[in-house]
Amino acid sequence: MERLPREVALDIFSRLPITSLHRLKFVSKLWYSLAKDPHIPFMDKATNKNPSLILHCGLQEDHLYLIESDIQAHFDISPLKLDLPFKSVTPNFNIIGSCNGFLCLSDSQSLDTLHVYNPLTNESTQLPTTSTNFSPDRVVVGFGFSPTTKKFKVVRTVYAYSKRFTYFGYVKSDISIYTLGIDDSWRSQGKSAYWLDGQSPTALVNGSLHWLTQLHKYTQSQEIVSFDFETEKFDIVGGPSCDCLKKKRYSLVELGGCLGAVVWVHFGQLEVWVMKKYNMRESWSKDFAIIAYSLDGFNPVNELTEEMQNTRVWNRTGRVVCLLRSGEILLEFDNQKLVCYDPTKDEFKNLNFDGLPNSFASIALTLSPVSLNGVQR
Amino acid sequence: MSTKKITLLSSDREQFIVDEAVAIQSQTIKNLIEDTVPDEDGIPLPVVHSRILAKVTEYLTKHANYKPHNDAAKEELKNWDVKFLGKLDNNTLFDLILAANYLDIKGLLDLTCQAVADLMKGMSVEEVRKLFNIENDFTPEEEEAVRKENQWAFD
Repeated sequence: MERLPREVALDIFSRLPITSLHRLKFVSKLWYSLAKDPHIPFMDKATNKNPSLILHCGLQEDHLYLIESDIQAHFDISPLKLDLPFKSVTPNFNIIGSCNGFLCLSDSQSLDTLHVYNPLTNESTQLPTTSTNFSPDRVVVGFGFSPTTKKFKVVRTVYAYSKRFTYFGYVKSDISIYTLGIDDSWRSQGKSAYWLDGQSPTALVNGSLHWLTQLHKYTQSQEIVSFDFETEKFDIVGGPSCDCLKKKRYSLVELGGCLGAVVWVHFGQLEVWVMKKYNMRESWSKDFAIIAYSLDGFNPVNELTEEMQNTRVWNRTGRVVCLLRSGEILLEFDNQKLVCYDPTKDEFKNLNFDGLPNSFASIALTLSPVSLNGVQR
Repeated sequence: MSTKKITLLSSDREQFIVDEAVAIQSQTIKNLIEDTVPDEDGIPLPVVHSRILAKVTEYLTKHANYKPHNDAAKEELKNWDVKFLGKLDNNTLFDLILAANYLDIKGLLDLTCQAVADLMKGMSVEEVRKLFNIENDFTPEEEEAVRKENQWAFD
Protein backbone atom coordinates (compact mmCIF):
# COMPACT_ATOMS: atom_id res chain seq x y z
CA MET A 1 0.00 0.00 0.00
CA GLU A 2 2.91 2.29 0.82
CA ARG A 3 4.16 2.01 -2.78
CA LEU A 4 0.85 2.84 -4.43
CA PRO A 5 -0.36 6.25 -5.55
CA ARG A 6 -2.85 7.58 -3.05
CA GLU A 7 -5.85 7.39 -5.38
CA VAL A 8 -5.15 3.73 -6.10
CA ALA A 9 -4.82 2.95 -2.39
CA LEU A 10 -8.12 4.73 -1.78
CA ASP A 11 -9.73 2.70 -4.56
CA ILE A 12 -8.64 -0.49 -2.78
CA PHE A 13 -9.92 0.82 0.56
CA SER A 14 -13.29 1.61 -1.01
CA ARG A 15 -13.67 -2.08 -1.90
CA LEU A 16 -13.27 -3.28 1.69
CA PRO A 17 -16.21 -4.07 3.90
CA ILE A 18 -16.48 -1.09 6.17
CA THR A 19 -15.79 -3.10 9.33
CA SER A 20 -12.51 -4.32 7.78
CA LEU A 21 -11.62 -0.76 6.91
CA HIS A 22 -12.17 0.24 10.49
CA ARG A 23 -10.08 -2.58 11.84
CA LEU A 24 -7.21 -2.07 9.43
CA LYS A 25 -6.73 1.64 9.94
CA PHE A 26 -4.55 0.77 12.94
CA VAL A 27 -1.96 -0.89 10.71
CA SER A 28 0.11 2.28 10.40
CA LYS A 29 -0.15 6.06 10.29
CA LEU A 30 -0.47 5.98 6.52
CA TRP A 31 -3.30 3.46 6.68
CA TYR A 32 -4.99 5.53 9.35
CA SER A 33 -4.90 8.61 7.14
CA LEU A 34 -6.14 6.60 4.13
CA ALA A 35 -9.04 5.09 6.06
CA LYS A 36 -10.11 8.52 7.25
CA ASP A 37 -9.70 10.17 3.85
CA PRO A 38 -12.98 11.79 2.79
CA HIS A 39 -12.07 11.05 -0.84
CA ILE A 40 -12.48 7.29 -0.57
CA PRO A 41 -14.67 6.68 -3.62
CA PHE A 42 -17.33 4.74 -1.69
CA MET A 43 -20.06 6.24 -3.77
CA ASP A 44 -18.95 4.50 -6.96
CA LYS A 45 -19.26 1.18 -5.24
CA ALA A 46 -22.26 1.96 -3.07
CA THR A 47 -24.66 1.14 -5.90
CA ASN A 48 -23.42 -2.44 -5.85
CA LYS A 49 -23.87 -2.86 -2.16
CA ASN A 50 -26.76 -4.08 -0.16
CA PRO A 51 -27.51 -2.20 3.00
CA SER A 52 -26.22 -3.56 6.28
CA LEU A 53 -28.57 -4.71 9.00
CA ILE A 54 -28.89 -3.60 12.59
CA LEU A 55 -30.61 -6.13 14.82
CA HIS A 56 -32.23 -4.77 17.94
CA CYS A 57 -32.67 -7.29 20.75
CA GLY A 58 -34.21 -6.38 24.03
CA LEU A 59 -34.70 -8.62 27.01
CA GLN A 60 -33.52 -7.21 30.34
CA GLU A 61 -31.08 -5.04 28.51
CA ASP A 62 -31.19 -3.80 24.92
CA HIS A 63 -28.42 -4.70 22.51
CA LEU A 64 -27.64 -3.93 18.91
CA TYR A 65 -25.97 -6.33 16.51
CA LEU A 66 -24.53 -5.44 13.14
CA ILE A 67 -24.64 -7.67 10.06
CA GLU A 68 -22.51 -6.11 7.40
CA SER A 69 -23.30 -6.42 3.74
CA ASP A 70 -20.75 -7.44 1.20
CA ILE A 71 -20.45 -6.44 -2.43
CA GLN A 72 -20.94 -9.92 -3.84
CA ALA A 73 -22.66 -11.83 -1.11
CA HIS A 74 -25.97 -11.03 0.47
CA PHE A 75 -24.79 -10.76 4.03
CA ASP A 76 -21.79 -12.90 4.70
CA ILE A 77 -20.55 -12.00 8.13
CA SER A 78 -21.93 -13.21 11.42
CA PRO A 79 -23.61 -10.59 13.61
CA LEU A 80 -21.32 -8.40 15.68
CA LYS A 81 -22.50 -7.19 19.05
CA LEU A 82 -21.99 -3.45 19.27
CA ASP A 83 -20.51 -1.89 22.38
CA LEU A 84 -22.97 0.97 22.77
CA PRO A 85 -21.39 4.21 24.02
CA PHE A 86 -24.69 5.41 25.56
CA LYS A 87 -25.29 2.15 27.45
CA SER A 88 -24.74 3.64 30.90
CA VAL A 89 -27.17 6.52 30.29
CA THR A 90 -29.76 4.54 28.33
CA PRO A 91 -29.67 0.79 28.93
CA ASN A 92 -33.11 0.32 27.35
CA PHE A 93 -34.08 2.04 24.15
CA ASN A 94 -36.26 2.10 21.07
CA ILE A 95 -34.96 2.73 17.59
CA ILE A 96 -36.63 5.82 16.15
CA GLY A 97 -35.19 5.44 12.69
CA SER A 98 -32.11 5.41 10.53
CA CYS A 99 -30.80 7.80 7.95
CA ASN A 100 -27.51 7.93 6.00
CA GLY A 101 -25.85 5.41 8.29
CA PHE A 102 -26.92 7.06 11.53
CA LEU A 103 -29.49 5.80 14.01
CA CYS A 104 -31.72 7.81 16.27
CA LEU A 105 -32.75 6.11 19.52
CA SER A 106 -34.99 7.06 22.40
CA ASP A 107 -34.73 5.99 26.00
CA SER A 108 -37.53 3.58 26.89
CA GLN A 109 -37.77 5.03 30.41
CA SER A 110 -37.43 8.70 29.66
CA LEU A 111 -39.25 9.95 26.55
CA ASP A 112 -37.13 13.07 26.61
CA THR A 113 -33.78 11.35 26.20
CA LEU A 114 -32.72 10.93 22.57
CA HIS A 115 -29.42 9.75 21.11
CA VAL A 116 -27.99 9.92 17.62
CA TYR A 117 -25.56 7.10 16.97
CA ASN A 118 -23.23 6.04 14.16
CA PRO A 119 -22.80 2.27 14.61
CA LEU A 120 -19.74 2.22 12.38
CA THR A 121 -17.65 4.86 14.10
CA ASN A 122 -19.35 3.92 17.39
CA GLU A 123 -19.90 7.55 18.30
CA SER A 124 -23.07 8.85 19.84
CA THR A 125 -24.42 12.14 21.04
CA GLN A 126 -27.28 12.87 23.40
CA LEU A 127 -29.66 15.54 22.17
CA PRO A 128 -30.71 18.39 24.46
CA THR A 129 -33.91 17.82 26.37
CA THR A 130 -37.07 19.59 25.35
CA SER A 131 -39.64 21.42 27.36
CA THR A 132 -43.33 21.78 26.66
CA ASN A 133 -45.77 23.58 28.91
CA PHE A 134 -47.78 20.40 29.36
CA SER A 135 -46.74 16.89 30.23
CA PRO A 136 -46.92 14.70 27.15
CA ASP A 137 -48.86 11.43 27.04
CA ARG A 138 -47.42 10.41 23.72
CA VAL A 139 -44.25 11.30 21.85
CA VAL A 140 -43.68 10.64 18.14
CA VAL A 141 -40.15 11.22 16.91
CA GLY A 142 -38.77 11.26 13.35
CA PHE A 143 -35.18 11.34 12.15
CA GLY A 144 -33.97 12.52 8.75
CA PHE A 145 -31.60 14.59 6.70
CA SER A 146 -31.83 17.88 4.87
CA PRO A 147 -30.02 17.45 1.55
CA THR A 148 -29.21 21.11 0.85
CA THR A 149 -27.82 22.00 4.26
CA LYS A 150 -26.47 18.44 4.73
CA LYS A 151 -27.68 18.37 8.31
CA PHE A 152 -29.48 15.74 10.31
CA LYS A 153 -32.76 16.80 11.85
CA VAL A 154 -35.00 15.32 14.50
CA VAL A 155 -38.68 16.21 14.57
CA ARG A 156 -40.65 15.51 17.70
CA THR A 157 -44.41 15.76 18.10
CA VAL A 158 -45.85 15.47 21.58
CA TYR A 159 -49.52 14.95 22.37
CA ALA A 160 -51.47 15.27 25.60
CA TYR A 161 -55.07 14.43 26.30
CA SER A 162 -56.69 17.46 27.76
CA LYS A 163 -57.88 16.72 31.28
CA ARG A 164 -60.91 18.95 30.81
CA PHE A 165 -62.12 18.02 27.37
CA THR A 166 -61.54 14.29 27.26
CA TYR A 167 -65.16 13.78 26.23
CA PHE A 168 -64.44 15.43 22.88
CA GLY A 169 -61.12 13.67 22.49
CA TYR A 170 -59.45 17.05 22.49
CA VAL A 171 -55.68 16.93 22.60
CA LYS A 172 -52.87 19.36 23.03
CA SER A 173 -49.91 18.97 20.75
CA ASP A 174 -46.58 20.58 20.04
CA ILE A 175 -44.07 20.06 17.26
CA SER A 176 -40.41 20.83 17.80
CA ILE A 177 -37.39 20.43 15.57
CA TYR A 178 -33.72 20.07 16.35
CA THR A 179 -30.97 20.34 13.70
CA LEU A 180 -27.69 18.67 14.62
CA GLY A 181 -24.74 21.00 14.37
CA ILE A 182 -26.94 24.13 14.09
CA ASP A 183 -29.50 24.39 16.86
CA ASP A 184 -28.58 24.86 20.50
CA SER A 185 -32.07 23.90 21.55
CA TRP A 186 -35.31 22.62 20.08
CA ARG A 187 -37.33 25.00 17.92
CA SER A 188 -41.04 24.89 18.68
CA GLN A 189 -43.27 24.86 15.60
CA GLY A 190 -46.65 25.02 17.28
CA LYS A 191 -49.55 22.59 17.15
CA SER A 192 -49.75 19.50 15.00
CA ALA A 193 -52.58 19.12 12.50
CA TYR A 194 -52.12 15.35 12.41
CA TRP A 195 -52.56 12.58 14.92
CA LEU A 196 -49.52 10.52 14.02
CA ASP A 197 -49.29 6.83 14.81
CA GLY A 198 -45.99 6.43 16.59
CA GLN A 199 -46.21 2.63 16.77
CA SER A 200 -46.30 1.58 13.14
CA PRO A 201 -43.15 1.73 10.99
CA THR A 202 -42.18 4.93 9.21
CA ALA A 203 -40.58 5.27 5.79
CA LEU A 204 -37.96 7.81 4.73
CA VAL A 205 -38.49 8.49 1.02
CA ASN A 206 -37.67 11.47 -1.15
CA GLY A 207 -36.25 13.51 1.75
CA SER A 208 -39.47 13.11 3.70
CA LEU A 209 -40.43 10.85 6.54
CA HIS A 210 -43.83 9.17 6.32
CA TRP A 211 -46.13 8.14 9.12
CA LEU A 212 -49.56 6.65 9.16
CA THR A 213 -52.17 8.56 11.10
CA GLN A 214 -53.99 6.86 13.96
CA LEU A 215 -56.85 4.74 12.73
CA HIS A 216 -59.89 7.03 12.56
CA LYS A 217 -62.58 6.09 15.02
CA TYR A 218 -65.52 6.48 12.63
CA THR A 219 -64.23 6.11 9.09
CA GLN A 220 -61.74 3.35 10.04
CA SER A 221 -59.33 4.91 7.57
CA GLN A 222 -55.73 5.91 7.83
CA GLU A 223 -53.83 8.56 5.98
CA ILE A 224 -50.17 8.93 5.12
CA VAL A 225 -48.54 12.07 6.48
CA SER A 226 -45.14 13.24 5.30
CA PHE A 227 -42.62 15.56 6.91
CA ASP A 228 -40.20 17.23 4.52
CA PHE A 229 -36.86 17.69 6.30
CA GLU A 230 -35.92 20.47 3.91
CA THR A 231 -38.99 22.69 4.19
CA GLU A 232 -39.98 21.40 7.64
CA LYS A 233 -43.61 21.06 6.51
CA PHE A 234 -46.08 18.27 7.14
CA ASP A 235 -48.38 17.18 4.33
CA ILE A 236 -50.78 14.45 3.27
CA VAL A 237 -49.60 11.89 0.71
CA GLY A 238 -52.21 9.94 -1.19
CA GLY A 239 -52.28 6.31 -0.12
CA PRO A 240 -53.18 3.31 -2.26
CA SER A 241 -56.62 4.10 -3.57
CA CYS A 242 -57.76 0.53 -4.11
CA ASP A 243 -61.05 -0.09 -2.34
CA CYS A 244 -59.89 -3.38 -0.90
CA LEU A 245 -57.21 -1.54 1.09
CA LYS A 246 -59.38 1.13 2.59
CA LYS A 247 -60.35 -0.80 5.66
CA LYS A 248 -57.20 -2.83 6.00
CA ARG A 249 -54.33 -2.04 8.27
CA TYR A 250 -51.09 -1.67 6.43
CA SER A 251 -47.61 -0.52 7.30
CA LEU A 252 -45.23 1.73 5.44
CA VAL A 253 -41.84 0.74 4.11
CA GLU A 254 -39.15 2.23 1.90
CA LEU A 255 -38.49 0.00 -1.11
CA GLY A 256 -35.75 0.96 -3.53
CA GLY A 257 -36.34 4.67 -3.03
CA CYS A 258 -40.13 4.37 -3.36
CA LEU A 259 -42.81 4.54 -0.72
CA GLY A 260 -44.31 1.11 -0.14
CA ALA A 261 -47.26 -0.24 1.79
CA VAL A 262 -47.32 -3.76 3.20
CA VAL A 263 -50.80 -5.18 3.60
CA TRP A 264 -51.65 -8.38 5.45
CA VAL A 265 -54.48 -9.78 3.43
CA HIS A 266 -55.68 -13.15 4.69
CA PHE A 267 -54.24 -16.46 5.76
CA GLY A 268 -50.92 -14.85 6.33
CA GLN A 269 -50.55 -13.67 2.78
CA LEU A 270 -49.05 -10.25 2.38
CA GLU A 271 -49.26 -7.80 -0.47
CA VAL A 272 -46.69 -5.19 -1.24
CA TRP A 273 -47.89 -1.99 -2.86
CA VAL A 274 -45.47 0.58 -4.22
CA MET A 275 -45.97 4.22 -5.19
CA LYS A 276 -43.88 4.29 -8.36
CA LYS A 277 -43.94 8.07 -8.78
CA TYR A 278 -43.68 10.06 -5.60
CA ASN A 279 -46.86 11.79 -4.49
CA MET A 280 -48.84 10.51 -7.47
CA ARG A 281 -51.74 8.61 -6.05
CA GLU A 282 -52.46 6.90 -9.39
CA SER A 283 -48.97 5.41 -9.45
CA TRP A 284 -49.64 3.04 -6.54
CA SER A 285 -49.59 -0.51 -7.79
CA LYS A 286 -49.54 -3.93 -6.26
CA ASP A 287 -46.03 -5.18 -6.87
CA PHE A 288 -46.44 -8.68 -5.56
CA ALA A 289 -48.17 -10.92 -3.11
CA ILE A 290 -46.23 -13.25 -0.86
CA ILE A 291 -47.72 -16.56 0.10
CA ALA A 292 -48.11 -17.90 3.59
CA TYR A 293 -45.16 -18.68 5.74
CA SER A 294 -44.68 -20.79 8.80
CA LEU A 295 -41.62 -21.16 10.97
CA ASP A 296 -41.03 -24.61 9.47
CA GLY A 297 -40.94 -23.21 5.99
CA PHE A 298 -43.26 -21.91 3.36
CA ASN A 299 -46.44 -23.55 2.25
CA PRO A 300 -48.70 -22.47 -0.54
CA VAL A 301 -51.99 -21.30 0.93
CA ASN A 302 -53.99 -24.10 -0.64
CA GLU A 303 -51.95 -26.74 1.17
CA LEU A 304 -52.85 -25.42 4.58
CA THR A 305 -55.66 -26.81 6.63
CA GLU A 306 -58.30 -24.36 7.71
CA GLU A 307 -57.15 -24.69 11.27
CA MET A 308 -53.56 -23.88 10.34
CA GLN A 309 -54.72 -20.87 8.38
CA ASN A 310 -56.76 -19.53 11.23
CA THR A 311 -54.07 -19.90 13.84
CA ARG A 312 -51.45 -18.50 11.56
CA VAL A 313 -53.27 -15.35 10.61
CA TRP A 314 -53.37 -13.99 14.09
CA ASN A 315 -50.17 -15.33 15.56
CA ARG A 316 -47.74 -13.88 13.18
CA THR A 317 -45.67 -10.81 12.87
CA GLY A 318 -43.90 -10.34 9.59
CA ARG A 319 -42.13 -7.32 8.22
CA VAL A 320 -40.62 -6.23 4.95
CA VAL A 321 -37.13 -5.02 5.88
CA CYS A 322 -35.70 -3.78 2.60
CA LEU A 323 -35.17 -4.35 -1.09
CA LEU A 324 -31.87 -5.99 -2.01
CA ARG A 325 -29.81 -5.10 -5.06
CA SER A 326 -30.68 -8.43 -6.60
CA GLY A 327 -34.35 -7.42 -6.64
CA GLU A 328 -35.08 -9.80 -3.78
CA ILE A 329 -37.02 -8.63 -0.75
CA LEU A 330 -35.64 -9.14 2.73
CA LEU A 331 -38.36 -10.23 5.14
CA GLU A 332 -38.28 -10.71 8.87
CA PHE A 333 -40.69 -13.19 10.43
CA ASP A 334 -41.76 -13.63 14.02
CA ASN A 335 -38.77 -11.60 15.21
CA GLN A 336 -36.52 -14.58 14.66
CA LYS A 337 -36.04 -15.34 10.98
CA LEU A 338 -34.59 -13.43 8.09
CA VAL A 339 -35.83 -14.59 4.73
CA CYS A 340 -35.03 -13.51 1.17
CA TYR A 341 -37.95 -13.56 -1.21
CA ASP A 342 -37.42 -13.53 -4.95
CA PRO A 343 -40.59 -12.10 -6.50
CA THR A 344 -39.66 -13.15 -10.04
CA LYS A 345 -39.35 -16.82 -9.10
CA ASP A 346 -41.68 -16.73 -6.10
CA GLU A 347 -38.96 -18.43 -4.07
CA PHE A 348 -37.82 -18.07 -0.49
CA LYS A 349 -34.41 -18.52 1.01
CA ASN A 350 -33.79 -18.63 4.74
CA LEU A 351 -30.77 -16.62 5.80
CA ASN A 352 -28.91 -18.40 8.54
CA PHE A 353 -26.16 -16.72 10.46
CA ASP A 354 -23.95 -18.06 13.17
CA GLY A 355 -24.71 -16.32 16.41
CA LEU A 356 -28.03 -14.83 15.40
CA PRO A 357 -29.84 -13.65 18.53
CA ASN A 358 -33.01 -15.54 19.44
CA SER A 359 -35.32 -12.62 19.03
CA PHE A 360 -34.75 -9.35 17.25
CA ALA A 361 -36.12 -6.53 15.13
CA SER A 362 -34.05 -5.62 12.11
CA ILE A 363 -33.40 -2.30 10.45
CA ALA A 364 -31.58 -1.80 7.16
CA LEU A 365 -29.01 0.92 6.89
CA THR A 366 -26.05 1.84 4.73
CA LEU A 367 -23.03 2.24 6.98
CA SER A 368 -21.24 5.54 6.85
CA PRO A 369 -17.71 6.36 7.98
CA VAL A 370 -18.73 9.98 8.56
CA SER A 371 -17.77 11.06 12.04
CA LEU A 372 -20.38 12.50 14.35
CA ASN A 373 -17.96 15.35 15.07
CA GLY A 374 -18.19 16.38 11.43
CA VAL A 375 -21.98 16.20 11.55
CA GLN A 376 -22.14 18.41 14.62
CA ARG A 377 -19.94 21.13 13.20
CA MET B 1 -5.01 -10.73 -43.01
CA SER B 2 -1.97 -9.31 -41.40
CA THR B 3 -2.33 -7.20 -38.29
CA LYS B 4 -0.11 -4.35 -37.35
CA LYS B 5 2.46 -5.28 -34.74
CA ILE B 6 3.64 -3.01 -31.96
CA THR B 7 6.89 -3.41 -30.11
CA LEU B 8 6.90 -2.49 -26.43
CA LEU B 9 10.16 -1.89 -24.61
CA SER B 10 10.41 -2.63 -20.91
CA SER B 11 12.56 -0.70 -18.44
CA ASP B 12 15.28 -3.35 -18.76
CA ARG B 13 15.01 -2.96 -22.58
CA GLU B 14 13.38 -6.27 -23.35
CA GLN B 15 11.15 -6.23 -26.44
CA PHE B 16 7.55 -7.43 -26.42
CA ILE B 17 5.93 -7.71 -29.83
CA VAL B 18 2.12 -7.68 -29.74
CA ASP B 19 -0.80 -6.94 -32.07
CA GLU B 20 -1.82 -3.32 -32.10
CA ALA B 21 -5.33 -4.33 -30.97
CA VAL B 22 -3.75 -5.92 -27.90
CA ALA B 23 -1.53 -2.94 -27.09
CA ILE B 24 -4.10 -0.18 -27.44
CA GLN B 25 -6.24 -1.57 -24.63
CA SER B 26 -3.78 0.49 -22.63
CA GLN B 27 -4.84 4.12 -22.96
CA THR B 28 -1.28 5.21 -22.26
CA ILE B 29 0.20 3.06 -25.04
CA LYS B 30 -2.56 4.21 -27.39
CA ASN B 31 -1.61 7.83 -26.71
CA LEU B 32 2.08 7.05 -27.13
CA ILE B 33 1.45 5.41 -30.52
CA GLU B 34 -0.55 8.41 -31.70
CA ASP B 35 1.59 11.16 -30.27
CA THR B 36 5.20 10.08 -30.43
CA VAL B 37 7.71 8.94 -32.98
CA PRO B 38 8.63 5.45 -31.86
CA ASP B 39 12.12 4.55 -30.74
CA GLU B 40 13.50 2.18 -33.35
CA ASP B 41 13.61 -0.58 -30.73
CA GLY B 42 9.96 -0.03 -29.79
CA ILE B 43 7.74 2.06 -27.53
CA PRO B 44 9.68 2.67 -24.32
CA LEU B 45 7.84 2.00 -21.07
CA PRO B 46 10.55 3.07 -18.63
CA VAL B 47 8.67 2.27 -15.43
CA VAL B 48 7.58 -1.28 -16.31
CA HIS B 49 10.05 -4.12 -15.82
CA SER B 50 10.02 -7.04 -18.27
CA ARG B 51 8.90 -9.39 -15.49
CA ILE B 52 5.72 -7.28 -15.08
CA LEU B 53 5.29 -6.37 -18.75
CA ALA B 54 5.16 -10.10 -19.51
CA LYS B 55 2.18 -10.38 -17.15
CA VAL B 56 0.54 -7.28 -18.59
CA THR B 57 0.81 -8.54 -22.16
CA GLU B 58 -0.46 -11.96 -21.09
CA TYR B 59 -3.55 -10.29 -19.63
CA LEU B 60 -4.04 -7.94 -22.60
CA THR B 61 -3.63 -10.73 -25.18
CA LYS B 62 -6.26 -12.85 -23.46
CA HIS B 63 -8.70 -9.97 -23.14
CA ALA B 64 -8.19 -8.68 -26.70
CA ASN B 65 -8.72 -12.05 -28.32
CA TYR B 66 -11.61 -12.96 -26.16
CA LYS B 67 -14.71 -10.89 -26.53
CA PRO B 68 -17.33 -12.73 -24.50
CA HIS B 69 -20.65 -13.05 -26.32
CA ASN B 70 -22.59 -15.09 -23.80
CA ASP B 71 -22.65 -15.98 -20.14
CA ALA B 72 -20.57 -19.11 -20.61
CA ALA B 73 -17.82 -17.13 -22.33
CA LYS B 74 -17.95 -14.45 -19.65
CA GLU B 75 -17.67 -17.16 -17.03
CA GLU B 76 -14.64 -18.64 -18.78
CA LEU B 77 -12.91 -15.28 -18.93
CA LYS B 78 -13.65 -14.77 -15.26
CA ASN B 79 -12.11 -18.15 -14.47
CA TRP B 80 -9.09 -17.22 -16.53
CA ASP B 81 -8.72 -13.99 -14.49
CA VAL B 82 -8.91 -15.98 -11.25
CA LYS B 83 -6.20 -18.35 -12.46
CA PHE B 84 -4.10 -15.44 -13.65
CA LEU B 85 -4.30 -13.81 -10.21
CA GLY B 86 -3.61 -17.12 -8.49
CA LYS B 87 -0.17 -17.33 -10.05
CA LEU B 88 0.97 -13.96 -8.67
CA ASP B 89 2.88 -13.41 -5.47
CA ASN B 90 2.01 -10.31 -3.44
CA ASN B 91 4.94 -8.25 -4.71
CA THR B 92 4.04 -8.96 -8.31
CA LEU B 93 0.41 -8.12 -7.56
CA PHE B 94 1.39 -4.66 -6.31
CA ASP B 95 3.80 -4.16 -9.26
CA LEU B 96 0.96 -5.09 -11.56
CA ILE B 97 -1.33 -2.51 -9.92
CA LEU B 98 1.35 0.14 -10.47
CA ALA B 99 1.76 -0.92 -14.10
CA ALA B 100 -2.01 -1.05 -14.73
CA ASN B 101 -2.32 2.41 -13.21
CA TYR B 102 0.57 3.81 -15.27
CA LEU B 103 -0.56 2.12 -18.49
CA ASP B 104 -4.17 3.08 -17.79
CA ILE B 105 -5.72 -0.37 -18.23
CA LYS B 106 -9.02 -0.13 -16.38
CA GLY B 107 -9.91 -3.83 -16.42
CA LEU B 108 -6.56 -4.92 -15.03
CA LEU B 109 -6.54 -2.17 -12.40
CA ASP B 110 -10.03 -3.20 -11.27
CA LEU B 111 -9.06 -6.85 -11.14
CA THR B 112 -5.86 -6.31 -9.16
CA CYS B 113 -7.32 -3.74 -6.73
CA GLN B 114 -10.20 -6.09 -5.97
CA ALA B 115 -7.70 -8.91 -5.44
CA VAL B 116 -5.82 -6.89 -2.83
CA ALA B 117 -9.07 -5.87 -1.12
CA ASP B 118 -10.20 -9.52 -1.04
CA LEU B 119 -6.86 -10.50 0.43
CA MET B 120 -7.06 -7.90 3.18
CA LYS B 121 -10.67 -8.01 4.21
CA GLY B 122 -10.56 -11.01 6.51
CA MET B 123 -7.21 -10.15 8.04
CA SER B 124 -6.26 -8.78 11.40
CA VAL B 125 -3.99 -5.77 11.81
CA GLU B 126 -1.04 -8.02 12.69
CA GLU B 127 -1.59 -10.29 9.69
CA VAL B 128 -1.69 -7.32 7.33
CA ARG B 129 1.51 -5.87 8.81
CA LYS B 130 3.25 -9.21 8.39
CA LEU B 131 1.98 -9.89 4.87
CA PHE B 132 2.80 -6.47 3.47
CA ASN B 133 5.90 -5.99 5.59
CA ILE B 134 4.57 -2.83 7.20
CA GLU B 135 6.11 -1.43 10.32
CA ASN B 136 3.80 -0.17 13.05
CA ASP B 137 4.86 3.48 13.23
CA PHE B 138 2.44 4.42 16.01
CA THR B 139 4.09 4.96 19.38
CA PRO B 140 2.26 3.05 22.13
CA GLU B 141 0.81 6.38 23.38
CA GLU B 142 -0.40 7.36 19.91
CA GLU B 143 -1.89 3.94 19.34
CA GLU B 144 -3.79 4.11 22.59
CA ALA B 145 -5.03 7.60 21.74
CA VAL B 146 -6.35 6.64 18.29
CA ARG B 147 -7.91 3.47 19.62
CA LYS B 148 -9.67 5.43 22.30
CA GLU B 149 -10.91 7.86 19.71
CA ASN B 150 -12.21 5.00 17.61
CA GLN B 151 -13.62 2.52 20.05
CA TRP B 152 -14.94 -0.27 17.95
CA ALA B 153 -15.16 -3.08 20.39
CA PHE B 154 -17.15 -6.24 20.17
CA ASP B 155 -17.80 -8.89 22.74
